[in-house]
Amino acid sequence: MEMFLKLDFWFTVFRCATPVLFATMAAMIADRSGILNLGMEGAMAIASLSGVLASGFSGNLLVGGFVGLFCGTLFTMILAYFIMNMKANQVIAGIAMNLAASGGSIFALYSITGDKNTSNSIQSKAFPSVEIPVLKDIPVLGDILSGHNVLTYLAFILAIVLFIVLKKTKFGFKVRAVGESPEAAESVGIKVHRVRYQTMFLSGLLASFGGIYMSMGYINRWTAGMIAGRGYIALATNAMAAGNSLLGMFASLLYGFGSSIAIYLQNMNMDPYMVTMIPYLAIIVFYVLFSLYYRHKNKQHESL
Amino acid sequence: MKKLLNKVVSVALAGAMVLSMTACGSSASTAETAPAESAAAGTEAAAETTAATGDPLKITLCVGRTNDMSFQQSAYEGVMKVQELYPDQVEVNVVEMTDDTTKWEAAFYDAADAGADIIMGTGFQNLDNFTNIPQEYPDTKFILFDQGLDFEANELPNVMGVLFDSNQSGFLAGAVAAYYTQNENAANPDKTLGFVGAMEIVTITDFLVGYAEGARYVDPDMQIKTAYVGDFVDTAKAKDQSKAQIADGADIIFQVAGGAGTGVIEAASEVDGVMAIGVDADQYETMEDPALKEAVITSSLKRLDNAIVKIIGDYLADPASVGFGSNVTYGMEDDAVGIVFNDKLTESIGEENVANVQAILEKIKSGEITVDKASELTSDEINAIVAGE
Repeated sequence: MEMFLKLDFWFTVFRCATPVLFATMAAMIADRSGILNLGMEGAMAIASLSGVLASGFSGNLLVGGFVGLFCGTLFTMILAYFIMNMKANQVIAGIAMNLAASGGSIFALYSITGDKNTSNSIQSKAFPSVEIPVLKDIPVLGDILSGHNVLTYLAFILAIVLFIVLKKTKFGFKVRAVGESPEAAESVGIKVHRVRYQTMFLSGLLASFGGIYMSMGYINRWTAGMIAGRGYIALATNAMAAGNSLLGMFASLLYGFGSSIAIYLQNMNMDPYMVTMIPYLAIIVFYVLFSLYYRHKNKQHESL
Repeated sequence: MKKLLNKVVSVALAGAMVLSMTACGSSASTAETAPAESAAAGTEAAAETTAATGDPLKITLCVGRTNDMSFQQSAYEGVMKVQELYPDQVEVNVVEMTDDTTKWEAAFYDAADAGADIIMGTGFQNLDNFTNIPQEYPDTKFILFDQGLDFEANELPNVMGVLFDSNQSGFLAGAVAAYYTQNENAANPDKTLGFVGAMEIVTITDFLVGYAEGARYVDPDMQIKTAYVGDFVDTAKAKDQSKAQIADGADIIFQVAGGAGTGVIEAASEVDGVMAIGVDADQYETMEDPALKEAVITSSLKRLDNAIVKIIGDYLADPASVGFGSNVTYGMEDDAVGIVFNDKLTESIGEENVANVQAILEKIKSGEITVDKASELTSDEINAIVAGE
């Protein structure tokens, strides 16, 4: 239990949660408009690689960040086109795109740099960590909450923004209407296709933020396979959050907490195979609990 | 004039297309080294071994590429050395198969059809190739490095799997770590060392067993923190695990985690006084980022070059002395494993300790120190060794 007293432990929770939070929001906004976006893993891989390449060749962090976001979003828009215009099955198209991205990103790295595993030959840039002025002086809390990567703060701010957008704005209302009943939405003049393209655009953008955080924040280079399922875990955290991005924040932190426990337990020489399960197990257990709660709530609703 | 230009361009394009097609078709560029002036005079030794055929021994090495700065390059250097040592007795061919492993099978068939006497390959990717192809070419010898073969399930009298005593290079890495963690360059005086592996499998725990024993050989009070990434790719997780070990007082971490290992080196580079130990290749040389370079104190090595020189030397002297039909392990006594001795190491642990490490190396060579093998231990026994019980 002594690990819970370590400040580094809690710091790690936020580091681990960040990419999953971005991906959770990406899954959520697409989900709310009625699209199952499975392409987050691929979008993150594409964004992380193109960000590193662009920042390495241009020598400019922002150019790298922009190109990363652009490529990841473009990837998601292609997926959106397949799903909406070509009427492809969402699951099959999403998985096919992810597989293409995992192989394609390595191929691209190899053709451009000659490296196959890591982008070692490129001096890429990373987003800086920032100290929060007042917060950093508070003992304990300052050590845990201050000094994170810019993108970590951005993720948590965006989670709050997304909550407000979905709940309070006209756009959010349209998104939810399209997601719940496209026919009804269409009958009142909402352009279903356009709204879904808009949400897929935002979804791609959010996933790409997760991608560039992986290779330009968390780690300062790209390695093959580095996304390592974080885009898929987001499907579970999104299901748990049930369309509420504040709950999504909680679910991502839960994953981060599980990961952090797994990392620190290994230091105490626990069995590594058992420990590796912890973050995933935590998500499954909480997902089941949440599902039971929602079902219970719905039943109450019906009985009224 | 314009017509002429068009013609020139089209001919040039057609030429380029033909060239690119042949480049694809051959699937491999063959770099043939001059088959040393045909054994005109022929030394006595050459006469002995090649008397039967009168031809030099044809050795073909097939690797993805010869400049991977890791063990493929080491294999290439090995066959070049062999060519230099026995110019009259061997004829060395090197085939670069490219990194596209789907082309590899064809390259081995090509080599076998071309009449090679010994065909060499590296790595686990060739397990199937070296299990299937040799059965079709019983008169050709095959040697696979860094991957054992299943000789019980398959009839493979003409194949040899070459393995390396990673535990011995791990032992030296452990000794280096123990010397480093106590000296004034280290981040803290704690006797805590870190180890980040990819998975808990024998090829990786072999390093760990050696590491733990090596560290305790220098100082029995050493504590070792271990972590496994769970795969070979999750760089971010490897970095977090290293950071956790550093937070717990580890100031030197041995990484045996493939691609994810870069995360360990990155974590070490971010904290003053923390170093990482690389694996397989000299990672001080392979890291291009100066910050990462400076965080690599040494690397544990597989010296395929020395193993190849030994194997071919033995084969030329007496073909029966080479263990075809089995997996053979080469270690420090053949200089087939080791660590990097460079200025960075000297600067980090001091000349006196470098000499100590070299003395340990000699003791392993002479058999005065024996290092346990992970393959001969149970998981519990390995855990006990790591925990120092």
